[in-house]
Amino acid sequence: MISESVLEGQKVRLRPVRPADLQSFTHWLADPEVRRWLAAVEKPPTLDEEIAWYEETRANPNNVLWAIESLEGQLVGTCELRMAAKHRKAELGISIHDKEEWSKGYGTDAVRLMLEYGFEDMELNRIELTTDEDNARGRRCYEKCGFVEEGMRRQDRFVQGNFSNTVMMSVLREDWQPS
Amino acid sequence: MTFPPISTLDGPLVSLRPATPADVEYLVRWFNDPDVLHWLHLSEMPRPTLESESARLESHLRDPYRRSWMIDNHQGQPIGNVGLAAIDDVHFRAELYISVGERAYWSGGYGTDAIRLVLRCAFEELGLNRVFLIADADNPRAIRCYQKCGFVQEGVLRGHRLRFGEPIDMVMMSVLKGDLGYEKEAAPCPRCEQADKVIPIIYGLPGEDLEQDAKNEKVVLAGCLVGPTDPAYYCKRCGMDFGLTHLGVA
Repeated sequence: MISESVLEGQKVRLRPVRPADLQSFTHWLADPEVRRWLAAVEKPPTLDEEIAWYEETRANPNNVLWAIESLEGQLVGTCELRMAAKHRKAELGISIHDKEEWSKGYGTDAVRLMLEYGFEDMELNRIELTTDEDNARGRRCYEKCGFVEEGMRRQDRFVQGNFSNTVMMSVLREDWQPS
Repeated sequence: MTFPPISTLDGPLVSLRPATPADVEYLVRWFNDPDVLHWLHLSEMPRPTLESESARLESHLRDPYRRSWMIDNHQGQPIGNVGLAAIDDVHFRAELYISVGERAYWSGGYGTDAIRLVLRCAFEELGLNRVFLIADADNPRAIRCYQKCGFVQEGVLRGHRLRFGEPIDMVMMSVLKGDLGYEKEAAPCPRCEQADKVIPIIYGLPGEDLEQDAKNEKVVLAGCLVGPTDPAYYCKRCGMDFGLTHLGVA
């Protein structure tokens, strides 16, 4: 589903994705550097594929998607919570698509907003994510937000001819401290 | 990539045959047993009925990225089910799941036998590289069985599922094609009676992979000449070799 909740943090606002955003996503995702850590986007998507993805996500009640924009209203990426309500948990995904906007704290702020939403509004017990072992910038961001490493999936993905390991991380409700 | 059709697999204790819609009556009976349900994600679902399980089974049978087998004992009696899910031909991996629904067959080596057959299929028939699973962290019987089959623990996922409403931890485990040992059970060391430090002794000319494994103390390389009285296993704890090669080979 496209979240109707608008969440405002220190640096970013999470707002519903609009069809008009898809052109920008397609443009940014054509860059292999932007796709480098995105397990779900292995090839550059066409605009039609982005539209199909948007429609699919909108129809899936367990998938809560937002666009990330700066407080000035500039679109920079997307983030989502994939809910497993029966087990009171969700998997978090995030990407700052616009690489001009990397390392400005937007991702960290967006993750914190999602944690607050997941634990307070959705009353989750656990929020988890996976990322590539070599994604140092991502792992640092998640640690800052309270994620703890739980393990390493060996040779989990086969990317450009090599196997790579995947780190598993999570935050539990009992550990989480709102910032 | 297209995978070969699902086949029947025979082991020393069990046979695996492709599940059919007619097997649903067994699944419904097993998954209504609270002692079985205790260990399954299904604990959070409404109690399985013929209708609900038929729908689930049929969707599994339609899924090209799944293989679902029934585990039969050698009298042809179904005792559980096992399968591979999320078979991924991009990353060469799949998730293994198993449930021995007939409690009389718990702790008898039947699950271990079934898993070894599935691993052989995954690595040799399907060409996969990684088979993984998650298990309740408080289920040592299952975890020991997976270890015997070559699975190693990769982490503990805290509060990963609910069991009748309460969060519980789960362990993530995997076996890689290169891990060796998935095809034969590590025998316990006759001195310390434990198998956890036991590694196989490999004869013959080693390739690069085996040399790496030897460096990491996963195997012992013992040269090209082998006779019937040469040992098959080495215990790292006791520094002792034991077993006979002609018995150790599966």
